[in-house]
Amino acid sequence: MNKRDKIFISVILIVYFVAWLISLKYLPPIDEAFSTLGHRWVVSIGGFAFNPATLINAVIFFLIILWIALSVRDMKLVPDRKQSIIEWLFDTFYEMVEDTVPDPRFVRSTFVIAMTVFMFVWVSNMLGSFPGIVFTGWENGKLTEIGLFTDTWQAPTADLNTNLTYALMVFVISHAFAIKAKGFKAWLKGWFEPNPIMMPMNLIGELAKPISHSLRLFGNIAGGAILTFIFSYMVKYFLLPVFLWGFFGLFVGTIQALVFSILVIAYISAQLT
Amino acid sequence: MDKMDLAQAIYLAGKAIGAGLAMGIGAIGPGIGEGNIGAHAMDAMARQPEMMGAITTRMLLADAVAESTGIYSLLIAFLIIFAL
Amino acid sequence: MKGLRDFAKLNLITAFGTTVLANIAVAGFIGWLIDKYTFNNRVIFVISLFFGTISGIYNGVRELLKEAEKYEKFDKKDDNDNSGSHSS
Repeated sequence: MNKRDKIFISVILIVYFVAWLISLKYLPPIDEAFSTLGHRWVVSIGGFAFNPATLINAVIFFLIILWIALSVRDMKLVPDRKQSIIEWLFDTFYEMVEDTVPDPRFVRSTFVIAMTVFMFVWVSNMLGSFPGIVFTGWENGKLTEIGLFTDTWQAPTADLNTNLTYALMVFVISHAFAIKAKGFKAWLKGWFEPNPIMMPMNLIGELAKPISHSLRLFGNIAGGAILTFIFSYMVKYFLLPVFLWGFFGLFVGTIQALVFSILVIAYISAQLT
Repeated sequence: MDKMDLAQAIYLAGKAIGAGLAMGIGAIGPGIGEGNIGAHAMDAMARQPEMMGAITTRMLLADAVAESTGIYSLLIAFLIIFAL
Repeated sequence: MKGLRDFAKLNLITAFGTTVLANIAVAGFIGWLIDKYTFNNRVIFVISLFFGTISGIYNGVRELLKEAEKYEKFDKKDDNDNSGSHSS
């Protein structure tokens, strides 16, 4: 670290400290800060109730992924650093799918599904406990205020609807692949596998897969966001939020995104064997 | 917070104490169990370093069974707080 | 390749508990639905909760064994690849 870096880091720290001192004045009292915790902004159109914050953030994350994809669009024969990272990621995933899925006809489509899910969930998890635009909802779903850098992003994966959509999609896709691969009769016979008495167990187990699949991601990300919010308030937003983002966003987010997409591969391949 | 009468206050205090005890006592068992599992896995790895991959997988498998009671107590704590 | 899979192994830790809980929840929900439209006296609900517990433990153990087998197969394959290429 040379002298210029040291000066740069000290200036940033001083600016951070002064900004923190100024922001102390505008911090809401504890009742007001925690009264909207966990309440979402809900809009219902024609009987469909949904959370617009999830939609808006999802569109923003799709644009981020699109921007990354456009920046590495022209593939060169000798890759530079950015391209080689992405090539390594895709290669790793393709090998994993190839090792797991037994039927070579479905390797490519399984890879496409798992990779898409992984990229979206990863980006959304990483920015999940990062300060950004916040839509604060009240108990009956009315939007009370739009804050800038007051709380963490409501990641789309911190909303159960997103996760349940992906998990149900994987459930339907895995059974469609199974019917296509084995034929309808063999698929129907698979429900009565060890003996016909175990049919209810198999049925309940299959139906429970999307529930546990989606709840695991939801619990980790939503719990991390709430913990980040509470701890950040307790230290008056002094320095700790960075480390909390590092833990919940980078570490837990990466592991959960990886686990989610590996379970996608595992559930699809379990139906194909 | 609004003023509450004594019955409500006792009810709230009971909920909080119950959830805290459920989570705290429920975490003792998995802690001891996973500590034992980790210690013995380390012993086995020190004895046979070439088996490290297989031992790690089996250690995580045993951890899963030990951890499940902790997850149940977490669920019970949530049920006490939000559903009682 | 190997590093990513070592991370993913951590998934095993919460797999059993969540599988059991999800099975109980699904079986309870199905039992509650059946109960609501037939006798409405909670008998089928309780029976289906028992079914959910049995199914949860059965499916959880099956899933754990399958995952462990898969990872062990991969580890063996990696070992073979390494010994083949580096000849160490």
